[in-house]
Amino acid sequence: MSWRSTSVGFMVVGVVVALVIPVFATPRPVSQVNLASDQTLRMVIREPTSMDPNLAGDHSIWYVDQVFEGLYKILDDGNVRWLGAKSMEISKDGLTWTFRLNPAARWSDGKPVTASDYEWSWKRAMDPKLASDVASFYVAIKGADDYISGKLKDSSQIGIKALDAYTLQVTMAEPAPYFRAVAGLTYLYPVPRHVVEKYGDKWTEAGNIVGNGVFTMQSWKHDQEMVLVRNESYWGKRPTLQKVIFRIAPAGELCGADFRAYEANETDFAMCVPTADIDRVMRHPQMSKELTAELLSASQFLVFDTGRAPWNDARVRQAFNLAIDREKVVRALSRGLFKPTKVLVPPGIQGYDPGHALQMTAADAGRLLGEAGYAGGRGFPDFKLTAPDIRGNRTLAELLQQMWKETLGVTAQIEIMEPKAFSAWRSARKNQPFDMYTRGGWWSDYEDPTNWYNIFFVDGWLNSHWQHEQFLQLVKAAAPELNKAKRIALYDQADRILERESPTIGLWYFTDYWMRKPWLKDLQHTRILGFFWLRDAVILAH
Amino acid sequence: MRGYVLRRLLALIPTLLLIYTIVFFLMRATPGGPWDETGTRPVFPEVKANLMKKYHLTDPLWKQYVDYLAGALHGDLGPSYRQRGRTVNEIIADFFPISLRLGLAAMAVAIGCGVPLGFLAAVRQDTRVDRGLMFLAVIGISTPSFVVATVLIVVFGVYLRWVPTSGWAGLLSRQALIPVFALALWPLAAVARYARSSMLDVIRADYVRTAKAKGLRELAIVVRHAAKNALIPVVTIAGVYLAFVVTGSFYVESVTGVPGLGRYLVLSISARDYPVIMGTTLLLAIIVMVVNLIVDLSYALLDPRIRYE
Amino acid sequence: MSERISGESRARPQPQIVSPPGRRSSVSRGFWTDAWRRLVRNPLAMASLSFLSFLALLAVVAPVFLPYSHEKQDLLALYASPSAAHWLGTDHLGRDLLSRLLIGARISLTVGLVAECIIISIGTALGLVAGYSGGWVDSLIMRVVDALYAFPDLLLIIIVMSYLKAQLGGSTLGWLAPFAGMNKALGGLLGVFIALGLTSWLTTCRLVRGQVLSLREREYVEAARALGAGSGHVIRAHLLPNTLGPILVAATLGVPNAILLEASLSFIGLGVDPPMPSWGLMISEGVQAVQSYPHVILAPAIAVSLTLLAFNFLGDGLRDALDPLLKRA
Repeated sequence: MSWRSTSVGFMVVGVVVALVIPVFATPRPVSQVNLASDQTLRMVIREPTSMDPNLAGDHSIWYVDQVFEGLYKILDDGNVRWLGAKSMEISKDGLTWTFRLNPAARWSDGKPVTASDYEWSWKRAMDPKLASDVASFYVAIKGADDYISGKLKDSSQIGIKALDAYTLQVTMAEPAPYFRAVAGLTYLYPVPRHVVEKYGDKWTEAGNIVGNGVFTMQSWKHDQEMVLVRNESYWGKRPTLQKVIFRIAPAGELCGADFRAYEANETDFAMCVPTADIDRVMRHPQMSKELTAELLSASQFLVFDTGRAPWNDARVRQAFNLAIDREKVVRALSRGLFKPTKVLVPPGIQGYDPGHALQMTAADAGRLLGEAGYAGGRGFPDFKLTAPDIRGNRTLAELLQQMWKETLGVTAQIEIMEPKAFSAWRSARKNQPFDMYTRGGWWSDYEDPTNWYNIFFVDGWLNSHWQHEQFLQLVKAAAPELNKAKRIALYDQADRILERESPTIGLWYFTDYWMRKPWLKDLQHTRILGFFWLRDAVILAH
Repeated sequence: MRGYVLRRLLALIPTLLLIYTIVFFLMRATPGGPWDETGTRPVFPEVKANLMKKYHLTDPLWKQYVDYLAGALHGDLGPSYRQRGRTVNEIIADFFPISLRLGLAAMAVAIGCGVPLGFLAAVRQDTRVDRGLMFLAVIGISTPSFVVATVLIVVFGVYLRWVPTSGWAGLLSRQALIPVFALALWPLAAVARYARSSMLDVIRADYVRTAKAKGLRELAIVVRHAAKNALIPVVTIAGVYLAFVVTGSFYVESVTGVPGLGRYLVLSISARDYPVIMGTTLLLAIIVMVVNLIVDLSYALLDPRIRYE
Repeated sequence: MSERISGESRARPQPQIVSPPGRRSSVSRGFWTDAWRRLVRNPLAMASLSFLSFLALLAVVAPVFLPYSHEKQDLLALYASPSAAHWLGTDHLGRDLLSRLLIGARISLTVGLVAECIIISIGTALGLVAGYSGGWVDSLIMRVVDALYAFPDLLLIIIVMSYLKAQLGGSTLGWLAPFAGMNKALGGLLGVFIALGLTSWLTTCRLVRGQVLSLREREYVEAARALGAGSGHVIRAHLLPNTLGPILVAATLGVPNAILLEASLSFIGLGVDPPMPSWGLMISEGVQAVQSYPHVILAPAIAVSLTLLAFNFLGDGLRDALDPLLKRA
């Protein structure tokens, strides 16, 4: 995930952007007759670190998303589902965005959701005194940067204005069309000013919290249980589910606890299957039907320090790339449920093309290393593969170590670091040398190529020290390109260079392993950050 | 005696100050800060600066040291960095009673079963009873609590479905069975071993031999003469385990989903949530020291030859 | 490190920790000889000693005759069940569990013995001094013990390990650079030793002190002191031998305890560096798969239990052999 979206300049002409797609009803194949009388969904979650949309930047967004809603939601098929807004207009110069809000929208205490709620919430999210890390999603807006860093004190100078009760006008610092993908994210959901001001820090506790989503919070015993109930005053179609019981499990053991509870029939839905149990699930006559691997816009990859020998030689990087048998890696780590990839960016990101991958085989790996002067791995310097102790990185490191040893004759030393220590180490690589690292992958925050190429290499967030002039020019030019076809062509060209040069090695696309009991239907997954859409889910009689 | 207790209580102050100092500086010497990105969350530099400022981490170190200490002395252990909007005081108030109840229950089981079993093994030294019990004790000691808890959950939760697979609904609920037993097993086995060992010492002592020679029945000897003396080492070890069980139940709490303080402390360490680490460490430190004092006092109670002036 | 693994050297070091052979009286030399003779007559203790020696030997020579390398992966045989090819089956990367078990024995025995030696040495010495001296020395030592003891182990271990790993294995080596090679050879265990050594001596110390507190008031100790015996003599002749039983019981629990602590560290990712196996790491890897592949956890769990059992019988044997109360009878 990234929160950085700076250095993205963009020119949009467009009069009224053709975003105005009518609200469409979710297909409802299930006949209402079959519904269970008790519409209660039970599942296991992690304790949210905050239920405040202005603060929630981690897994908490999944639960915030049930209790609150934003302007709209972009679905996996690219369609827009209008929620808090009815339409959006962008001015000719691309600087002024006007959202027409839905006057029917209500807070769960009955008060209307107005444009000034949005204005106040968004400014609150940027407030240095709140110090929220979701603030970085607002940087496209005029004055946001300065307000966040404390240089600008007067919040009325920020380009967010409620023109009337149901018209919200946003002025950009410079045209930034990627904001279309951002405006509907949980980080830009509104909060109820009257409640926040009344209860302060405690406004998200059960009893205090007021949302605008399809569910409201009935109770929240920290680290034990959270219960949501249907919001009967929701403006639109209310969900079929009456009640959602979240049992809260400890973070480190979440996957095991989630799956065991599911297997013991204590829950209807599990978001995880421990790797060791996947085979058993797949062989099981019933459970195998309940398991689906839902593709995420997220990939795992390896990063080289291209600024120093031997990694500054593209042939070495290519050799290391070609020596990896991704099918085997994915089988060992996910029993084939992750999707192997030879390229970095996932489908849905402009520039993606599996055809850009190196058109060579593992047999070429040794040859390339030989051409670089290390035939059979002879004379290759000692090197270290660094990884944080999260999400199978340890196993991945052991797999890569073995594959390189067998194919290239070189032995990586593995260094597994405690996650925070790894983060500190990685941040310090800005100006310091290393060999290679893997981390917990990267999840698209929003589906736009700037969220990958520009952040990774222009902002230099990967610290890969890769300064390819032509590539950088292409992605810098592509970001603000208005012509859609031209933009795709530019990113396509850039991606071609990226894959040929291999400063990073794509390994797999992540998937969510979802287990759904046969009676749970219409629970939708979104590939951006793996949201689950409880609003359409139903429980069949069973 | 009263003077001794008072002196010991006064000695808590420098000890706590020492712990405070060590924790304070060790936390800050550990690589990674509270707002360095973890696996999923890169943090915007300006935002990180705001956070540092908000939580006074930009102050000089000595000022942070003094300020937090002053707050703590007034009973304010500060805000949690990880759980926005929650304070350490609230977190402790929520989770400590659960850990304490779980720990005490486990310790009651451990002593209640461990001491009689250990004494039984000693009295029946070198018989099948003795060997069998000690074999079980070894199994108990050699199985890590996270393995015990996981296996129990799989067997009794997933397959037999007698108890829920995780969660907490108070000590007097089916959910509590697995955590209490998993937590009790290790100290139970250890207490049994110490009880046996110390009872053997006492049984061989002259006064017990005399009693035996006088024709007193074995059980009477054990109850009237030996048990009290044999309890001294057991008390030491039980005190140690009590502290361990209350503070160190992280693994069991994690696997069984009990929202206790041990689990919270470990989460806070990996999140570098300084106030939570400090607050819980100080609290646990006080508990350990009070338990130790009680253990020392109980020596005097059990062994009249030990006097505290 | 291999010679430290042998059970033989384990059997006798205890008395030498605080009482060098040269300064012992002839009476106590006879005492130790008697003790050794009694130990040899104890079949269980000797069987345990043989088992541990055999295990240590296996751990040392294992690589010579192992059919597979402990790091050889077979990605087509993940979690394979025991078979003729893999007697104990394979793990999550298709690595032979028997090979890993034997290599793991090296790591685990080394951890257990080295850490326990450190723990017992520090704990016994300080416990004796505290219990015997009383007064401000006692207070000082016990305050330090209290302070360290009140420290949640995990916090201290995590912090020490994070620090040491950065110092010993980071890309830029710190002041501990001279030990980096040693640490690498030990699979990253140096930090584990130090962390365990720093945190675990406290229990022994309290135990010894408690015992001494009780002993020093006994008639024969008071008599010896009244007759003008020096502190050194009283400690060596009366306190230490009488304290040995409990210390040995503690130590026999301590060795596997250190092995288990390493397992707990592995569970939260602070154990040995991959691809080095330890029994602890194997147990914590096995527990992840306990539901679908119970055989993976069985072998390391049984190995730990057997080793612990052996240490226990050996400890009991030693206890009986060294118990001065028995001798007086």
